[in-house]
Amino acid sequence: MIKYSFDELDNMTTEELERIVDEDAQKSVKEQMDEDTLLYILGLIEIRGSYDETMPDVEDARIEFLKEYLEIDDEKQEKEPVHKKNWGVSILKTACIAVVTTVVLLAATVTAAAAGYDPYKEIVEWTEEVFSLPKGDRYVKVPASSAGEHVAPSLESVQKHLYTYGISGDVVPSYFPEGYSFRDYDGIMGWNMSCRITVSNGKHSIYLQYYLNTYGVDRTYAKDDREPEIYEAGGITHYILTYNGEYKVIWRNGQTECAIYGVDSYEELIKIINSIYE
Amino acid sequence: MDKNERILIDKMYRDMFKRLWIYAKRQLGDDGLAEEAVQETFRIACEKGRQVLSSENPKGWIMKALKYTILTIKRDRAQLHMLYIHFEVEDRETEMTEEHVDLMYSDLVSEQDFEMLKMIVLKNRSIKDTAQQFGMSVNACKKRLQRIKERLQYVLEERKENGGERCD
Repeated sequence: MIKYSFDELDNMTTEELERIVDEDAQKSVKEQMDEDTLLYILGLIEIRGSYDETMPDVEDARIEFLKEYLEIDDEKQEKEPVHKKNWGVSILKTACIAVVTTVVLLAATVTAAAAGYDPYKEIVEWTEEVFSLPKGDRYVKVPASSAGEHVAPSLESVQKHLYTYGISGDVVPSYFPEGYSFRDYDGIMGWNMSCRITVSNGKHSIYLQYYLNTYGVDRTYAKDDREPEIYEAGGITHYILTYNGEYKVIWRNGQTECAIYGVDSYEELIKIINSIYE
Repeated sequence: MDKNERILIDKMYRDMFKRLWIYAKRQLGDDGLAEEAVQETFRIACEKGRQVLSSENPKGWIMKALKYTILTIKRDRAQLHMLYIHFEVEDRETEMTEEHVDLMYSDLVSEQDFEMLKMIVLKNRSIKDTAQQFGMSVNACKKRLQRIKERLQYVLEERKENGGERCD
């Protein structure tokens, strides 16, 4: 675990601080930095103002929190005057809160429950159940090769519908297990387009899912506790997951985030992946 | 939560909101989802008020709770996504016969429910934005999504028991 002094952090650029936060989030819970250091870094990022334009107003958010989440409809809720952020004042306020908290604790007869909500434990468990593409894969773009030119006649409908949604042929498999053909499609158009294509053999379906313009949006995919397998093909890194006894593969090519679900054979999944680039 | 606990958590809310929002924004990539994560974190903190304030580091507790909330949001959306993927367009239009009465889609998941699901899964909208779109409170929207999820899971389980696919 890398440890930083506050002086080191104070002298880092905002981009360096953001990178530290992002990299730390990818680590296992045991390897992550302590919460005080993380909050200090976030405080530095905050006072440098790069999120001011899109960040919600705290008082507005607080009133909405009371109304929507705690369902307290208190007409006396008033916004506190907004004070310009002053880190020195904030530290003093924090110290005052700590003193008050200590006084309350000393005066109280409350003891911590032996068992109860432990966010630390929950984080370790949930990490095993979801997968997101690593941010580093975001900008890879493999030029269209002969992929798509050899699409079987039964899959021409797949090609046609993907073109409708603005997706080029270099993400489309040219192979599916015997008996599978295009069944239907669904999706939304627009700048954040997504499209789902279903191919089926009448008894079982395989799904192709495509998302465009996914920069900054980390989609998550359900998985079981097996580690994702990395499979390289066509210059692209693919991540093979398992969930509910079926295989799925996730990858990104340029602006398109792609997924294939519902394949029940590992060998067939590999054939499908390879056919994208053949 | 007594008055003193409420005052202290309220102060932490005002002090920590922006920092927590920045962290959530970087992990979730969306302003609305970031706000949802922070609000949900403090809802949990209010539920566990005594536990938060009696911990060694209350602010550290809330930071950990935010990390957990972010993962929960990701997991729940991934599960909804899987349900959406497996639920084919034609299922909404199939005319059910008496044989399929247990799978009567129109009785389980309405067109509006499916549109709500698409907003969450495809457009990646926050619960708050979705609730506003459908003219309901955040809590009502959360409960509606939970019902949608349970109904879709029921339909898929029934389908598996009937041999894997819907009958044509």
